[in-house]
Amino acid sequence: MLRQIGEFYHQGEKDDTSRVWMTCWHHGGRILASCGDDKAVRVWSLVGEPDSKMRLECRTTLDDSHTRAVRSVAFSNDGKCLVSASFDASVVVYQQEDGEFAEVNKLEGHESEVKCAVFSKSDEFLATCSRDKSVWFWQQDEDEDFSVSSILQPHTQDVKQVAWHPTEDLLVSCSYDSSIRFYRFDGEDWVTQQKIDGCHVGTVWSIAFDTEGHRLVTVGEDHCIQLFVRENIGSKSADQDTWKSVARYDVENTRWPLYSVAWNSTNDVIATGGGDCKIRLFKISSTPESPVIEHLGVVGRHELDVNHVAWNPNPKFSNLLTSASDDGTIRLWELEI
Amino acid sequence: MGQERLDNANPTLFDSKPRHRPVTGTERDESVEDPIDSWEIFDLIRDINDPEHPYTLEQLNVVQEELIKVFIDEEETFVKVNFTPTIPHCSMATLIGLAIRVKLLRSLHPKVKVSVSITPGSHSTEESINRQLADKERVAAAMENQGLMHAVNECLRVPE
Repeated sequence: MLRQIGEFYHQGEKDDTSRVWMTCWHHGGRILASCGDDKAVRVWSLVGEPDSKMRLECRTTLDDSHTRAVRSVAFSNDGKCLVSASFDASVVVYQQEDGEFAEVNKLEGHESEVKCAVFSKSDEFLATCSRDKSVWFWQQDEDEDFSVSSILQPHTQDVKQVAWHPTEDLLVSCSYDSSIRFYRFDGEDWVTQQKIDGCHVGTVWSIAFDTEGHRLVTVGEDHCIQLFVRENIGSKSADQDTWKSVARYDVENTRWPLYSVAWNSTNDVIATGGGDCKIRLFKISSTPESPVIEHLGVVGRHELDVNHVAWNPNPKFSNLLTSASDDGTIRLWELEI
Repeated sequence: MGQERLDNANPTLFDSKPRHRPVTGTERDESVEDPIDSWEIFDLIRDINDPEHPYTLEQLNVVQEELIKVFIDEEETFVKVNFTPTIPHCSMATLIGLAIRVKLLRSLHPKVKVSVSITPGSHSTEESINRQLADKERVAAAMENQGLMHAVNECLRVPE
C-alpha cells in the first residue's frame, strides 16, 4: 500500500548521522526542506516524474543560522520564503534569491525552545510557539519586516505545534498540557476562540486540518487519534465556529506516543508516525454525519522513532509521503491504492 | 552547595552487590545469543554519582536491580528503570533521572527503548517528573543545555 522509493540522510551517513525532526514540502511539490539535531536546514529537489524513479537531491545546506537543534521548517504559501524554528529560542526567515534560500530575518523574543513556526494562508501572519508556553503572532509588512502582533499564553505547559486553517485566519495550537486552543483575529489583536481540554491523556503532539478546513485530527502521547469537526459549516465562518470531537481511534499494541499526523489533500487518507518506529495509514470515512476512523494498517517503518510525516501538497504528487526519523533518514514513499 | 542546603543531610547507606554476576548455563557458549538483562542495565547505572552526596546511586539504594525490568519480544527490546529518590521531596530527582537516561542512551544500542521513571509512591511530584523524563523533545533540549549537561556529566564521572 505504501512503497518506499528512496532513503536520504539529512546529515552524514549510516553510522555518523543524527536525528531528523521534520520535513516540509514547498507548495509546488518539487522542493522539500528538512531540519534536525545537526542545527541545519536542508533544501532538496524532487527529481523525476511520477511514473519513473523519483528521488530527492540536496540543493542547499543552511547551517549558520541556528546554534541549537532546528525543530521545524515551513514554506510560505507564495513559495518565496522558508522559516525555521529552533531550540536556540530564535526563528529565522529565509528568502529565495536566484533559486537559493538565504537568511533575511532573525525573530527573537521567545524565552526558550521554539517548537514550530508557520505562515498563514495569506502569508501576512507568522505564528510561533515555544516551551515558554506562549503563542506569538508576527505580522509581515510590505518591506517584508516582521513585527509582533499579539502574544498569548493560553497553555499551562509547552506548546508543541501550531497549524493554520487552510483558507481562513484561524490558528490551532496543541500542548503538553493535553489541550488544544483555537485563535482568531478580531481586527486588532489575536484572541482565543475556543479551548478544548483533555483532548488526549498526556501531550498532544500534532494536529492537522483537512483540505477544506471542516475537519481536523490530533495525535498524542496516548497513541490515540481524535477527529474534530466544525459544528456550523453552513452558517458560520471557520474562525467564528466551534469544533467538537466526533470520533477517535486507539492504536493498540504500543506503549509509545504518536508524534505526527498528516492529512492527504486528495483522498482523506491520514498518515501517522510515532515512537514505535512505524508509519500507519487511516481512512476518514466521507459521511459527515457519523465519521469513522478506519485503520488501514502499518505500512512503513524506520529503524528508530518516526518524528514526522508529510504528504506532498501538489495534486500531481499527492501520493508521495516523506517521513523523518531519529535514524537520520528521510524516507520517500508512494501510496498505492 | 553548602552542607546546610542538602535535601537529605544524613542519607542511609546500603551494601553493594557483588561486582561479578553469577555465571549461568549458556553464558560461556559463544554460539548462544546473550540478550540484554536487568543485571547488565544495573551494572551500567549502579556507579552513577549522587548529585549531592559522595556516594553512588547503588549505595543510596536509589537504583536496585529489582527495580529494572527488561521486556524482549519480536518487535522491540524495552528497558524500564524505576529509581527511588532518598526522600519524597528530593529536588535532585529530575537530574538523577536525566543522568540515568543519558547514561543508558550513551551505552545501549539506539534501537533499545528506554523508560526511566520514579518508583511509584516515592516522590511528591513523581507524575510531573515522569512526564518530563518521557518527553523526547524535552530530553533532547536538556542534552543541548550546557549547564545541565555539566551537572549530568559530574554524576556520570568515573572516579580516578
